[in-house]
Amino acid sequence: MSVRTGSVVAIVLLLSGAGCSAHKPGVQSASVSSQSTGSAVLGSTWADASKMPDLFSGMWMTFSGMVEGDESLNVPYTEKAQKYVDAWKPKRDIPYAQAGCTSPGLPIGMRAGPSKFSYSPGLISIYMQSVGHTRFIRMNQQQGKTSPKYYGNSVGHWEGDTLVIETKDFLPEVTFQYGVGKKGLPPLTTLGTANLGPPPGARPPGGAPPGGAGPAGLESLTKAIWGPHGEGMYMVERMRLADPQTLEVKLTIYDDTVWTKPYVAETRNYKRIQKGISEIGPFSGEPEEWVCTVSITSFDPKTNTYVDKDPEEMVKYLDSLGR
Amino acid sequence: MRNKSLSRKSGCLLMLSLCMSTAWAHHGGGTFDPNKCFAFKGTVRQVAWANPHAWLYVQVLKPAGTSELWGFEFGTVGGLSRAGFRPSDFAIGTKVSITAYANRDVAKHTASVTRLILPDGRDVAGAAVAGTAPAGAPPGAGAPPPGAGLPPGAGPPQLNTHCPDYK
Repeated sequence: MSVRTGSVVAIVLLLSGAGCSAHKPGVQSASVSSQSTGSAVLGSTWADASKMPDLFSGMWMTFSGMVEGDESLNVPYTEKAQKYVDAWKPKRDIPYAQAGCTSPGLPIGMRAGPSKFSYSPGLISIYMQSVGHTRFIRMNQQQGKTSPKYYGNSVGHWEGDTLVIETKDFLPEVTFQYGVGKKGLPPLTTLGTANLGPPPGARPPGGAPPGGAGPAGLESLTKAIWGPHGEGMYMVERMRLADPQTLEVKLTIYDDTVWTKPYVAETRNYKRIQKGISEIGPFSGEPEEWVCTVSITSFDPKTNTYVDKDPEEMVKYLDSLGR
Repeated sequence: MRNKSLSRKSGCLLMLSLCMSTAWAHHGGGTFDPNKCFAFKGTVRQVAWANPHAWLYVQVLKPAGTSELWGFEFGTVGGLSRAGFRPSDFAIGTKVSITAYANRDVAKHTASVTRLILPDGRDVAGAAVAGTAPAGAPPGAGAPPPGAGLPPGAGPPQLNTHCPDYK
């Protein structure tokens, strides 16, 4: 090769290299981005696995309570939603409980137990152990035409150190929290404590999360107003490592059939659970199966009553399984 | 300012109950009565090794010599497995001693377990394996009773003495 040809070749290579790195987020570019190391398309190659903030080691768990408990976060309701809220009667127990422990969907699924993030190019999966289901976050892609899903359709991209997840098109079966009501039911007649989150006033290890203490678990559950969502409802989550052991999650929900402004949930901190490393206890940080097979005592929010399966019937059923 | 030691301990217990007993979705503790804690004795009739709660069905002995079938709620199977228990530990016919909070409805023979002692002396207790704490229970109600963590060689663990025998 002559020097001149070599120079031309070199120039062409330089130009093509520059062109390849100029991709904007939201553009599908898995094959091209292998040459790019810019954060614009972070999350599209195997090499990116070691470049992204480590959301993947161990599992994440929050202590801030499952529902919103801060009344000051309430936003004005639409006329239709206001009627619904005015007619709402506080529940004695978990307001979104359904028969057979059907998943309460998002965001509860991410709050009621540990979650495991996994990566492969173009996809971040989030296993939510509290419900035994996985969310799929398509990285650096457009939503495109979607069909309604239980956990919605999610696309994600990195903005600097923050993972931004946009989720839309939820099935009508899933209900959401409209806000915090004025009155709950007295705690003595309502809720247990063991499985519902830290008691009122409890602080997670390391102190209160930024922005103040987490909502009081017991009281919050009976004051929470739960209702159906509009078709256009969507969520935006912003997740970033506040420190190597803490994942800060900000959530905003948009639904113009319910609120006249977006609902900004309380910022939640999740602690990393990892064997021998987590400061909050001896956990393996490994995901476990969660499959709900038989719910024996359940709460019906519609009637505000408990339903218990009779022991005689349960024994007959268990005998029939051949145990 | 970090208050590590106290909040860490309570955080551990609470964490265990959250981590091991992700039994959020169907009910809280309103079913069970914090003022009706009893000590039961009986033999295992069946086991529901299931989520959201594992349940044990026990023929409970009464002083008159009769027996009643009761259902006892534990935590998740994950929590029980982690604590080292398996369905075979609760084989049909196993003699057990149980401390539990009974259903508010006296006609329903179900209760939420705080502690169960197996014939070999092993003790199923602690936030990771216990059933739902009853509504209105004092803090720590789901936790093991004082003295639960006995050192080796200390003799068989005793049940809560403040829970009267079920009659």
